[in-house]
Parts: sequence; C-alpha cells; structure tokens
Amino acid sequence: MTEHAFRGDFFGPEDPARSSAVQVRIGYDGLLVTKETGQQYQLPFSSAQMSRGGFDGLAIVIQGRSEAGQSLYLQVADESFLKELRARGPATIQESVRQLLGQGAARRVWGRLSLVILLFVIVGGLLALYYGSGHLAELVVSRIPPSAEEGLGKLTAQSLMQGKTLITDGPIFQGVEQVWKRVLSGIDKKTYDFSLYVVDAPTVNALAAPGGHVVVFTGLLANLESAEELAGVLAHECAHALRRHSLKRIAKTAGISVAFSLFLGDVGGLTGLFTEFGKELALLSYSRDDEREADEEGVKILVRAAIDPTKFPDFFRRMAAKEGTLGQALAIVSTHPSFDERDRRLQELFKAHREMAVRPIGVDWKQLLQALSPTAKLGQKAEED
Amino acid sequence: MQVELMFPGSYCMAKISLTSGELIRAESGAMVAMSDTIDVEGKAEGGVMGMFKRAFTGESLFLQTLKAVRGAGEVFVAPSEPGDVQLLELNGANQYFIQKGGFLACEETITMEAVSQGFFKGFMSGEGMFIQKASGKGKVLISSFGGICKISLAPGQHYVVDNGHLVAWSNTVQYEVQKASSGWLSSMTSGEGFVCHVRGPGDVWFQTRNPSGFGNWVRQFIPAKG
Repeated sequence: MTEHAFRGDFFGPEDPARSSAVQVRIGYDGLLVTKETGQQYQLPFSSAQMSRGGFDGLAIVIQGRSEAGQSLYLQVADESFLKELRARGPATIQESVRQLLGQGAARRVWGRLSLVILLFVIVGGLLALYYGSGHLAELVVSRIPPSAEEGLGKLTAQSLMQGKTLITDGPIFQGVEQVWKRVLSGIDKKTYDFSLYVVDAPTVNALAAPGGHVVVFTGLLANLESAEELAGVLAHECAHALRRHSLKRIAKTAGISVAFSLFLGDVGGLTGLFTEFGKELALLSYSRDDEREADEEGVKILVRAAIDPTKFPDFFRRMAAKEGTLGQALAIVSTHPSFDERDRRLQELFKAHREMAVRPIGVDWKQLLQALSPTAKLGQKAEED
Repeated sequence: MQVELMFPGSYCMAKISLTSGELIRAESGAMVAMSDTIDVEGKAEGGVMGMFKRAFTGESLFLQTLKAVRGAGEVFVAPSEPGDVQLLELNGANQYFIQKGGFLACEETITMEAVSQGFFKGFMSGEGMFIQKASGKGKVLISSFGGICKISLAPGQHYVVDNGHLVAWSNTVQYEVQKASSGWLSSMTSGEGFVCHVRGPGDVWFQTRNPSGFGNWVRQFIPAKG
C-alpha cells in the first residue's frame, strides 16, 4: 500500500449528514479512509462508484459500501488523486478514471471559456446598451399605447410631487394656467389630454412626464422674468411629451437597470425599479438630439400660439451665466447641453419668424412673482447668493 | 483565534481573542472595537483582479487586516446589516461557498476567492454572478440578514430554498435554480419566482429574511425626490 495520503471530505455511516476531514490512501483492492479520530473504513474498488460532483462539478465523488456493509460517501478535491488511481489502481477502475479525467479537463476548459464569454458578454452588452439602447427603447416605446402612457405619466408625476404642496388655485395658478392655455393653443395635434401641475418647491425645473403630464416647480417661476419665458419652457416640455422623449428615457434607463440588477443578482430590485420612474426622470438628462428636437418643436408651438419665441433663450442665458453658483438647485440647466450651441441653433430658427404677428399673453408677471411663497423664493435667494 | 458570538439573533457581534502575532482578515468596516495591542489596516486583497471580483460579490473593494502586534488582544466585529453571525470551521478538506455580502471575517490560514457560478445560476439564484469560496484550515465568520438556519443534508437528500435566502453551503452540496411551480405564471404569482434546489451531502445555511424583499418593503415608505 502506498503511503501517500489525500485529504478528503467524508460522510460516514454514524451521521451521514455530518462531514469529517479524512485521509485517503490508495490500496491494491480498495481505498483506506482514516478519520482524525483514528477510525478507519475500507472501501473496496468492487463496490465504489466514482463520479464528478460538488458545487463546481470538479470534485471527485466516491460512493459505495464498506466491507462491513456501511454506506460511505467521500469527496476529494485533489486532481492528482485520479492520476494516482490511474498509476496504482486495478484494471477494473481504469475506464472510470479515464472518463473522470476527461470530464475534469472538459469542465475546466469550459469554466475558463465561460469566463471569457462572460467578459465578452459584459463588454458587448455594455456597448450594445450604450449604442443600441436608444433604438431598443424606441422599439419598446412604439408598442406602448397612449392610454398606458398616460397612466404611467400620472404615476410619474405623482411620485415627483409626493410630499410637496400642489398649487391648484389662486393668482399663481391662474397666471400659469393662462400661459399654459396659450401654449396648448399652439399644439395642432393633441395626442394626449395635456395636464399641468404647479408644485410649490424651490427646485428650478420643469419636467414632462409621459402622456402629457407637465410639472412646473415654483422655484422656476421665481427665476423667470416674463410670461413669454414661461411659455417657452412649457412649449419645450410639451414638445418632449409629444415626441415621447421621457418615455424613451425611462425605457432606456429601465433596460440598463434591469440588466445590471440581473447581473448583480438583485432580482427583487426589479419590482422596485418600476415604482421609481419619478426619480429616474428627475435625475437623468435627455440626449442632445432630444433637446434639439424639443427646441425646434417648442418654437413651432410658440409661433402657432402667436407667442414671441425669442424670449425663451433669455432664461437660459441668465441661468447659464449663474451656473456653478447655484449647484443642484439649477437642475434645468445642469441637465441640458451647452447653452451656446442651443442659442446658436435657436437664433437660426428665429430668423424664419421675424415677421410673425405676436399677441401678448396678458399676465402681470411682476404681480405673479410677488404672490410666490417663501419656499419658491428659496431658489431665487440661492441665485442672489 | 477564539470566537465568542455575542447577542445572537438580529444584532449579533463576534468577540475574537487573538494571541500575540495572530492576524485575522475582516470585511472593510467590520471592526467595532479592539484592544490597543491590535493594528488595523486596509488591504486590496488579490490585487486589481481581486478587487474587481470582490466588487461583484457585493463586498467592499478592500479587506481590513487586524493583527495583534503588541501582544494578545481582542477585537469585536459586526456586519453592517442587522442579522446573525455564524462560525464555520474548515478542516482543510471541506470548502464553503458564501453568498455575496455574507463574509464577515476569517483566520489568516483561510483563502477567500471569488468564483463564477455560471450564467443561469448567476442571474436567477438571487446570489449574483460571483460568489465567494472559502478554503483552507481555520475559522470563517459569516453574516446574514435576519437569523441563520442550518440544515445538514445526507447524501442525495434534497431541499428547496427560496432564492435570495441562501447564505453559505458546503462544496459537497449541489444546487440548481428552477421555477418554484411547474408553470411560469404560477411561479411568478406564487411570489417565489425562482427557487434553489440543493442536494446533499453537506451543510446549507439560509437566512430568515430576504434583503431584496426587505428593500422593496422599505421602498414604499420613501418619498420620491422632486
């Protein structure tokens, strides 16, 4: 009998669910298993069945009955155990040993290969998501009916307004509503029942949730100098809604998050993801192409509504000059592409409408500003600081 | 290294007594208190690749080493989440797999490495693409979300554990991920989705709460940002 001993994991007859560390020696007609307590078991090759097992399928599993008829289960992780069996074991087990060596080699090759494939899938997947998610999102969005989009938009708008005061009457609401109605008169094909929500919060932002739900924060109103500027922002947001930009953005973000959640094993997080649309919408920016489209469509809406479109960039110009001093409060500027580039394009668009007949909106903007709550003015105060 | 588990249950903490010169490795930020004879330092285990793999097992990029440099001492370690701690003994032959985020601390003689568990298991088990493998001879402390329950399976014995509940299992245990019911729809509507089928011999530790399930429950109370 050879003196070389291999370490093994053993499940004996006394307690078949309890593992013990053992030493395994290869004999002429069987394996000699010695526990740390000194207790020994003889497992004849004639009753031993060998297979691959364990979590990674690479461990060598030997099951059988001892000479005393006890059921034994042995697992050895050391691959040289098989080589030793090939060199020293009887002819009757050589075929099994050869098969196990082949299986082990194949598993190891496949294991390495699957890691390489995984790496390619990760890199390829990220590239596909980066370059192809837009097309994929468009495909998904084109299959969502407007009724479902409206429901989704309402949920999104509600999650954005959670815990904040919604203004539904009074001079601020009436003034904003007057501007809103004029903007809506410039939309010739109303795909949705557009709704406006005026939220009393210092955030300097306005958002278009899917389905024509537009949210305006009073922090934005505090930073506007005329009703025409507000009309410009609202027309821009309506254009985002009409072109389904926010829905595409959600589809794109959800797609990436779903892939990452699956990869990291956070299956439960998937359900939570769908309740977070509001956050996604508030935190992510539109693509430059989306902004360009919304600018162009917004100008068309303003022209059809006979509102002076040239006031729209005034607000952005002021905000761009102050960017950096306001930090996160200035979400509307920080999530938009560079102002200079947009301004240049907008000025080109305005050239075509120099002769247009402009009808004043008729909202006393200074009076509206005076009616704003201290909360709304927090955004303005940050600006002054 | 002597280990005493204090306050077992939801807020368990391990008191580890070290002899002079003894060293343990622990999850970054696990140290709660220690004797002044012990030095603590952060270490990027396994270099850049090790950090990459650790990132995917839900652990922090760095491990901390706690060494009794100036004589014997004791150190208290605890996981960041509320839950129990269990001690696993490795005898040099057995190996354990630990779910992402389940490692708390181990002796110097233990080798911890991140291993891939394949595409399907990675995606559907709720444990992630990479899990941790502990091998060597010595002690390993694992932590759970909620309490830990251990079952010991005899050869061929079969058990079903909901995905996201597995904490650790022996290398001798085989597991497969399958739908909870025979049909897809009934699997999803039962609220279980996918489950892990484990087959003995070996030990399986599962946690009494599912972190993802808890996250979803908490999420409904968090107001959305404006």
